[in-house]
Amino acid sequence: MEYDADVIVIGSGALGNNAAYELAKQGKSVIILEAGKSIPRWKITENFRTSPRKNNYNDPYPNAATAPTSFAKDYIENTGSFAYLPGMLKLVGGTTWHWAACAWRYLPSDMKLKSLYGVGRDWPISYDDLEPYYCRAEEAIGVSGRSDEDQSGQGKKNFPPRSKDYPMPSDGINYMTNRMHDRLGKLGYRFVQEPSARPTNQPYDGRPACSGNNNCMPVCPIGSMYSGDVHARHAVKAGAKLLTEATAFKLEKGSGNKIEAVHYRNANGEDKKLTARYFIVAAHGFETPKLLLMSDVANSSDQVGRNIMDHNGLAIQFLADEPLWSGRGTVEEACIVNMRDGQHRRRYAASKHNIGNSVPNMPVAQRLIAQGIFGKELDERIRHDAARWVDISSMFETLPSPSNRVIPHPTKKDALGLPTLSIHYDVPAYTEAAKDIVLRDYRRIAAGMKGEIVNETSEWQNHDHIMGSVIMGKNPADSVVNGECRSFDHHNLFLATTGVIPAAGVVNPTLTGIALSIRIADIIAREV
Amino acid sequence: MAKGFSCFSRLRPFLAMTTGLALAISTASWAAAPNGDDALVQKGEYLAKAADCVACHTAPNGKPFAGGLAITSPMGNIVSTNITPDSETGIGHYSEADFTRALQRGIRKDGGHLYPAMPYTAYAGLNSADIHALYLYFMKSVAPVSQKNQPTKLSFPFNIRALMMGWNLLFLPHDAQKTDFDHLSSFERGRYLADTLEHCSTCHSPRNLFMAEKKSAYLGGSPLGGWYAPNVTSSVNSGIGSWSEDDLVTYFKTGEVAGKARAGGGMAEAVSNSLSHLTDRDLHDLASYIKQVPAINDAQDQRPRDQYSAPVENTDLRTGETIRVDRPVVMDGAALYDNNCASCHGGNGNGSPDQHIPSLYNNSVIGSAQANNLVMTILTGVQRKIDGHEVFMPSFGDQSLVQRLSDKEIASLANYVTGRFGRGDAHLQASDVQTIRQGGAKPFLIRYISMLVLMGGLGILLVLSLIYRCFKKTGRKGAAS
Repeated sequence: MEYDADVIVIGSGALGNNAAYELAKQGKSVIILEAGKSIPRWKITENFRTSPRKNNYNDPYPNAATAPTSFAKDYIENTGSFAYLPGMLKLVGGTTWHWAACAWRYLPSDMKLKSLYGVGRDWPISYDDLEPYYCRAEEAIGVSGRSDEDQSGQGKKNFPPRSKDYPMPSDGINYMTNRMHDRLGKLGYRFVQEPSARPTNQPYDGRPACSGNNNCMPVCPIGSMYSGDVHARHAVKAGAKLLTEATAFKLEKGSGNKIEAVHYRNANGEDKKLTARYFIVAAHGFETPKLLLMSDVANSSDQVGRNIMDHNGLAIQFLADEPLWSGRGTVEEACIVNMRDGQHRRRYAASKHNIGNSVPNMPVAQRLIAQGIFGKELDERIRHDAARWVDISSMFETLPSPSNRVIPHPTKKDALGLPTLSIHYDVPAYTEAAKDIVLRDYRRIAAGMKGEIVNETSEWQNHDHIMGSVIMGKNPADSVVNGECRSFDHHNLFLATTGVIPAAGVVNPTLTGIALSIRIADIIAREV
Repeated sequence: MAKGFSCFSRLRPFLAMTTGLALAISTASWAAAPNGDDALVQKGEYLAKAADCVACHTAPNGKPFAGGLAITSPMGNIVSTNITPDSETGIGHYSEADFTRALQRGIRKDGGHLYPAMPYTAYAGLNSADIHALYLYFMKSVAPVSQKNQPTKLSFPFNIRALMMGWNLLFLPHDAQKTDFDHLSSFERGRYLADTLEHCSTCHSPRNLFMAEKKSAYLGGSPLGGWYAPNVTSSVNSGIGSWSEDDLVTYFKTGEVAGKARAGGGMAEAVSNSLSHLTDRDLHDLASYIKQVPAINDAQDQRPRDQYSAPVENTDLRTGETIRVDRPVVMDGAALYDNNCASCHGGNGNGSPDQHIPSLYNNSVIGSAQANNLVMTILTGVQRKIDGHEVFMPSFGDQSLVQRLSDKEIASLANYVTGRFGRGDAHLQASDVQTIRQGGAKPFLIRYISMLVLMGGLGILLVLSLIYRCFKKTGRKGAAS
């Protein structure tokens, strides 16, 4: 049989493109399908600058009826107690266009949650299996970071273990972090610097060093921060073919339980079919299970679309008693990680506090205007308050539960005539149990900075970290993919998505997803 | 390199024998080399840096001096050769006489002619003691690399290397420096550095019809593979007459003088590989020599190119409707500037406070009468690494991983930038950018060579002499050296 390609990758986000690039580099013929278009960075920057909706990180991006983002009206319907609404984009490069580039590794203990703490699930692979791929992922996307800290927050050294240093050193610790560390360190809070997929003091892979626009979300205006479009270009240069405005809607089964073809619909509503030896679905943590369910494939476990997780979050803002000048460098600079690991995980969720480092003029001004302050006083108060503004947001661990699920919407369709998404999500009790502990922490931290609390959120927030939706495991009866990210049902089908992650930890899973994707490419390259 | 000419082939066994003998003798003498040789090797290393051999003789990510870099020229790519002392693929079998002949006369050991992409017209001025030091350095200190040379394939008639004999007769000087580098007076040393080692005029002097340097317009500025190597004579308005000697030395050492100029393209390479490695004394001698080069004035230059424009407090450049990618409108130069440049260079063109990111006013690239360097900078970005300090602007060209702009967008952007921060709208069209992208306008001779060859009736002698004279060294790397 003649195939259109050795490998078809569905989705041109950071994960799909990294897999596509690795395969193309090894001489495999690769086709990438992308639902959206390719848009130059400067047009996105222009959209952001001229938009009055600066808080909406999807706003500067294309939102075509034929490739709707998650914020398109009615695209995602929620039926559970929590409105799970992540900022998903559809364009070449995917949603890493507006991540903040925090490029964490999981801890070895995150991957052995069940055996160590008796809750949730273990990963079918260990940290050691993934470690070399973490190194490659860090090199691929250019991470700067510190390898001399205990990122687990347990007072160890150099943790988690790494066989190679970060590709680039981190930038200096900014004034705000230093001051907060001076005052809160005494209370026992352990700070670590966020590893960041962004060159800091030197160029990397054709990208300039960060020049401190502090605009990582919704768009890095200079292309310093890594986004998935970088590897779309690498993949195309290495020989991959990239088809845009091509929305996959059906995987076709062939003989021997293999996936034989993908059907996609273009923006004009025309359907096409492509065949390949191997398929990688890298179409986002929600769209991937949707495609599998629509195609009725890979679901002998009935777990496709189930077990969805996020890092549900809380936040606090306060005005410190001294100017701290939030906003120098990246929007995510440091974290407090005391609760990232430990025996408490037997009883309640791990958590991590991110110390926001955005220039806060907008929320500061909104608050003051709402208080009726105008004119010269407004200018002065903006200067005063913005200097003292502290914004801490926390990410909580969640556990997989089959009742938390995403399905193709039973009735609603998008402009292409394909189902939209329906989500049912309730925040797990394990996560709820950690809430009061974190809220107590907030008050302690605010008191430690003699802060005036401006806003404390006790409502759970989205953190856009989709996991569990095509869960990985050892047992085909309760898992969608094995430790290789290979479908238990179809030997030639791999899923490159953070949706495979079975234990959530408290860190952004993107780097882990890229590491898994590079690993997928290596496995396929040996077989195809 | 493999292709020899039949007239020389008879000599080969003889040459090989003598070389073998010479090598045997010299190897023996090196084995017992006294410290005097070490000093000479050191001197040779310094001179090799000053002559910037590494720039052209090293491929991207390649081993130093192993060759393989494709140097673009109007006649096609000229591939640099392996000059490591590997006896099979490099110059390990060259005697000092062979080495000298290659440097000064542009003739390989096998008798084949080099193209003047190798600046032998400049190296013709090398002192014999200095060549001796260079030879010792290459033979003793450079690591041999076994890497075969890639053939240079130029179009007819330029692929006939023997034609260089005629060109050399007309344009190759014979006046080598009598005194060696260590014993030159300050002035002579400055001139020797400028004309022989750093070969400044290779890029900065315009070329005549036969593509040889115009002596009458020495350092008067010349187009170069899309770039424009500017006038660096002492003319205040057209050259660098307003620069102090210290400014020049700072520029040589770091590639930047705040409020004046930044090195990009070939000059960034020359600074990184060569000039930044010279001693302060040598840089002052060089600067002081350059400063006294007779002015070449262009009446159209009303003021120095680094003296255009001033900061404009203008944080909100435009007002109007929200522009969406789903509803695209015409993106003019201002919009392109805002979204491609302003995030680093500032909405007002100030650059960063420490000028690590330079201001766009008081900027010689933007104040220049030729927009070439602005367009080339946008297309190729800037990359300089000096003493571990890296300066980088991303490329906006067709290989960029950050941002790729079209010819039309770049024309519109360059017109806006020159209008706002330079000496006025450069009025570029998309076709101008396309030409620059492809390496600049072709010299007369290259454009018309096929016609000239066909017009044999005009006189064989005329045609021959034209062909003899038709080579030019130029291009990306040529600019560096």
